[in-house]
Amino acid sequence: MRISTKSYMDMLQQGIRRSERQLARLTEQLTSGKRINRPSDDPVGASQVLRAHAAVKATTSSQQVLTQAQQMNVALDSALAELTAPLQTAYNAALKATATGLGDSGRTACAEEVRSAMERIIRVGNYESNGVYLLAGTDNRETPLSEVGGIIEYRGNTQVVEIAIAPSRNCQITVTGQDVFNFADAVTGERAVSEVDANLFEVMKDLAQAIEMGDEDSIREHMGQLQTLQEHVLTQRGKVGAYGLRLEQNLELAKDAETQSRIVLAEVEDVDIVQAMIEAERQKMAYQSALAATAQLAQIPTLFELMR
Amino acid sequence: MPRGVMEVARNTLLAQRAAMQIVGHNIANVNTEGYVRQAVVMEPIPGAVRGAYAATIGCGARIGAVKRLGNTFVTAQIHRYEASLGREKAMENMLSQVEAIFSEFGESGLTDNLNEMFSAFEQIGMEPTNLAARQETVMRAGIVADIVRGRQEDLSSLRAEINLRLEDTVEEANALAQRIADLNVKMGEASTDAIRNDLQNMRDVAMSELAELTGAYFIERSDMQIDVLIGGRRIVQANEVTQLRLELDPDNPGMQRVCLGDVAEPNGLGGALMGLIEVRDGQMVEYSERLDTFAETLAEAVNALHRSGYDLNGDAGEDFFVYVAGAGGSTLEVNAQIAADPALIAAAKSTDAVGDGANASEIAQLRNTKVFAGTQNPTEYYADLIGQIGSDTRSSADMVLVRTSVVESLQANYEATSGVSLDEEAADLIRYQQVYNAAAQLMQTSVAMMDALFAIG
Repeated sequence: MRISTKSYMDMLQQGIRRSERQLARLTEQLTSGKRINRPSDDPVGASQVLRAHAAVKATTSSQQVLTQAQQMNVALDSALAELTAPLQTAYNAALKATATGLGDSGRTACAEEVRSAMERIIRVGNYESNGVYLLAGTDNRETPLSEVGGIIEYRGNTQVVEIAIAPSRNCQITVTGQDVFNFADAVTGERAVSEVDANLFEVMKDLAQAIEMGDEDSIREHMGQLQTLQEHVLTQRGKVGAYGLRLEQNLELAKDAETQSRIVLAEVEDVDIVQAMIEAERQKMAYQSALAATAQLAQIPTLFELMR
Repeated sequence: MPRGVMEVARNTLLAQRAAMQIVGHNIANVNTEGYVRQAVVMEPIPGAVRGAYAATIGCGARIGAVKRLGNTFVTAQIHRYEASLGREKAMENMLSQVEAIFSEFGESGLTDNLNEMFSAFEQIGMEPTNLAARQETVMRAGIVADIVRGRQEDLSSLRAEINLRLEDTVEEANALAQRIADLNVKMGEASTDAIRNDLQNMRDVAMSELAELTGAYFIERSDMQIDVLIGGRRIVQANEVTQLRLELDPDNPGMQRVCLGDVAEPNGLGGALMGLIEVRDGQMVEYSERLDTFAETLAEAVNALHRSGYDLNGDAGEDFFVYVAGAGGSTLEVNAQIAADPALIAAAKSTDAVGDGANASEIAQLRNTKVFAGTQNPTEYYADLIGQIGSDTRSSADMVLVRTSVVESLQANYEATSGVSLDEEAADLIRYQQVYNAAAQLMQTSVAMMDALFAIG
């Protein structure tokens, strides 16, 4: 085929332009570290990158919330653990009160121990974590336990604190003060421990009174109730522990999910530096060859120059 | 006799000199875009048909014709592919700008901010009474709305910009059509092949540009003129021009359509004009509609849950997002009352539970809920839109490369016949120069012969 002078130079320019395009693409990838810098670089990959980014963000956020939930759960577990000592103190005081030969002053001292233990339990019941009452359910407007006319009332609600860990899947974090202290439901009148027809504070108050009166039958009856409620508190603590375990498992799952999402993201989005550098080197050589060829071929004299 | 020899020498000198001038013209235009090389066709000057023997001997050479070594068929082919290339280039240019509008691979991406918004709702779910968390949610939701509106507005602006580009393109096309018509006239008036060849080169260049802009093609008339057509309708007929113009499209509010004379949207319109219109009324409309769908579906999903919840005051939630139906993309906003008082975010599921964040947690879970036709969650829907934009842009860019490659190949083929080779012109120059030198020698010999005659007696 006949090659005109212009088409000769055009061919050389086209070769240089092609190399420049490839080199520019690789340079962008190497400097950004990303294989995809705009959707048209890889449309399917771009869509995958966005989804993977969203998955990473979702799992990161989920971990943050789960960690906060864990903190609340741990605080509640600690609070319930603190109930063990005063409950046992009250029980021991009652047991002492049943000993023969205990005088009025001894019984009064025992009754005071019971009342003192009750006050400590009330304080624990009103514990907060991050400004949230641990045993108020979801009604945080006031302290869950309040004394009104000598009677301890529960001011929280019956709704436990939960977090959503997936669509239509929640994880419970807390238990309510109503259940822990065996308050009767305002609507149904039912109690968590149906065989004890009084809340913990009523039992302890009546126990203290029975000790002062020296009514041994009443003391033993209330001791039985106290023991039942003591076991109930332990059961509640066990539940909280189980919630903590579930939170821990979900946190681990979220961490694994984040790791997997980041792996997918890296596979789709990140450029293989080694491969890109090899390709860039190859393109650089092609570009330099095109330039060198152009420089050399452009120096080939025409017949005019040879005629001089 | 010497006089006859002198005449032969004279004619030969003139002819070779003109031939060398043609060679020089070719050399001067070796890099001129669209230049088609010219070749001299020499012919002998015959002697008298009757008369003395000496009178019947030929009188040298003359230029019979100056041929333009073009190829009309290949030229038409190139114009056809240049029209396609013009269309694809216009589309690629506009789609690249659309792609830049939907920038997602940075901190200003919608998907990142959307997920931050859902994370903020999730945080309220954990800390419903935390006002800072509520404020963060309002801020993140506001950013999402701002980005959606911003993208919709940018798309609208770009569509309006296409109207301006159409105006410039139509103006340029009309100028080229007029130039072709003027060159048609000049070619009809041209007295020699040489001038006609140069005028035809200029006309071909104008035709090439017009094809790229409008998809026009030409047909040759018997008088060396051409008619230029778009889809069978003449835009140039010999020396007459029917201008392209723009008018508001009654079926496409705010947008202009191309008319050829009285005919709106002529069939066969191509080139850059068609490319601009296709993107304006095709892909950009689709992207705008999908953005509206995204905004409205997202807003409605959030609002439905928000209305079912209760705020910190124990009151039922209002719409969290507000928008105008059918124009959600350009009107999406966070409810002004909620923006002013984040305590109005309905985080709770029940009315007497300020520590209840269950509703906020449910809203957060919308990030994974397939609210878009039951098949896609918000990120998936938007990622698909981005993928579509990327695919259209990539496809267009690839087509530009393909068409460019075809055009370059055709042009190389055309150059093979019509392009100037300096080496060939140098060889021709030597050839004509040798004949010129010989003719000059002949002239000198005839002068010497004349001198010898005068010297007698």
